Amino acid sequence: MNSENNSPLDSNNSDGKPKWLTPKVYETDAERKRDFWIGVGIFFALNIVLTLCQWGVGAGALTVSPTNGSSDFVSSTLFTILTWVFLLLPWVINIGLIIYFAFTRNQVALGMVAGFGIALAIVICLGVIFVAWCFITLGAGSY
Amino acid sequence: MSPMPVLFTVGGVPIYSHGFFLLLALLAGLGWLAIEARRRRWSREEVLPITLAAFVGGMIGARVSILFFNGFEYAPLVLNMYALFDPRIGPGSILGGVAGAYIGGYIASKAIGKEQCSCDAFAPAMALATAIGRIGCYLSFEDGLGKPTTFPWGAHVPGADYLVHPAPLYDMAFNLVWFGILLALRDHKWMQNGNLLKFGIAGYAFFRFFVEFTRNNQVIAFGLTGQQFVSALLFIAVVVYFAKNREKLFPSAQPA
Repeated sequence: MNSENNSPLDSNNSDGKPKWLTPKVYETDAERKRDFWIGVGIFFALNIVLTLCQWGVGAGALTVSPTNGSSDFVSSTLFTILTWVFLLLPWVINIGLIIYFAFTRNQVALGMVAGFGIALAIVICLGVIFVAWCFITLGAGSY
Repeated sequence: MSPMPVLFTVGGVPIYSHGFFLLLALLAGLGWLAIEARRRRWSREEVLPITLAAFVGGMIGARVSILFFNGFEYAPLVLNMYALFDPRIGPGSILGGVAGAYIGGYIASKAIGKEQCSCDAFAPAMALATAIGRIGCYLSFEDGLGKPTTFPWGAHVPGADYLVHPAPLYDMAFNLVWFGILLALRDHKWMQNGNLLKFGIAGYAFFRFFVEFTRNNQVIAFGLTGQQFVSALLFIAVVVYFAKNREKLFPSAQPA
C-alpha cells in the first residue's frame, strides 16, 4: 500500500515541490498534441487581447499626453510610464509564460513558440512584397 | 551592377530583392538543417522545438539589437512586440539574430532536458543562409553598400562618380567559404556537442569585426560601430569558453 498518501488538498507533490512547478509527464501522443494546440491557442488569444488593450489604452493615454497641449509634469510622466508599461508588458507576459510552461508543460510552451513562429513566418513571406531593407522605421516613433 | 531593389513584378506587385532573398535564405538554412538532422539521426522531438525556438529567438534578437546598433530613439518601434509582425519594417540585424537564435535554441534544449547540445547542425546552415541573404542586401543597395573605395572591384553608386565597397558581397563570399570549412569540420571529434556552432559564430564575428570598417554603420565609440563591439564580444566569449574548458572539450592525444 502506498504510504505516501497525498490528500487532494495538498498543494505539494510527495517530493515537496508545488504542483504548479512540477513538470508534466506526457504519457500519450494525444496528450502532447492537446497541450501543443492549447499553446498555439494561448499565443494567438493572448496576443489578440493584448493588442486590443494596447490600442484601447493608447487611445485613452492620448488624453493625458503632452502632445495634447498639456504641459503638466504629472501628466507627462504618467504618459511616459504608461507607454513603457504597455510596450514591455507583452514581452514579459509572453516570454514569462513560455518559460514557465517550458519547465512545467513543455508541449504548451512548444505550441506558444510555434504560434509565434507561424506568425513570424507569415511576416517573412509577406516581406517579399514589402521589405526593401533590413530595417525601415516608417517614420521614427510611428508606433 | 546597378542596384535592383525590385527583383521582378508579379501582376504589378513588386517582389523586393531583400525580402525575396531573406525568404530564400531561411528556406535554404532550414533545408540544410533538415539534411544535417537526418544525417545525425536526431529525433523530431529534439529538432522541432530547438529549431522553432532558435527561429523565434533569432527574429526577436535581430529586431531588439537595433536598439544598440541604431540608437535608443528607435525604442518605441523596436520594443513594441507587435511591430515584429509588421511586414514593412524588416527583420533587423543578423548579429542580433545569431545571438537571439543561440539563446532561444539553448533555452529550448534545456527545457526538453537535453544534456548535450544538438546545435552543431545550425552552424553550416547559418553560414549558408547568411550567404544567400546577403545577395538581397547587395541588390537592394542597403546602407549605400559600403564606404568609398578605389579598389577595382568597387561597386558603382548611381548618380555618383566614385566606387564603394560591395560589403554585402564580402560577407557573402566569406560565408560561402565558411560554409565549406564548417562542412569539412562537422565530423571532427573536437567539433561536437556545440563546439562547431560556437566555432562558427566566432569565425563570423571575427570576419564581421573587420568588414565593418568597409560599411556605413553608425560609429558608437573609439571609432567602432555597435556591430564591432558585439562581434568582439562574441569572439572573445567563445575564445574564453574554449580556453577555460579546453581539457574537457579537446582531450589531448595519448600522453608521451
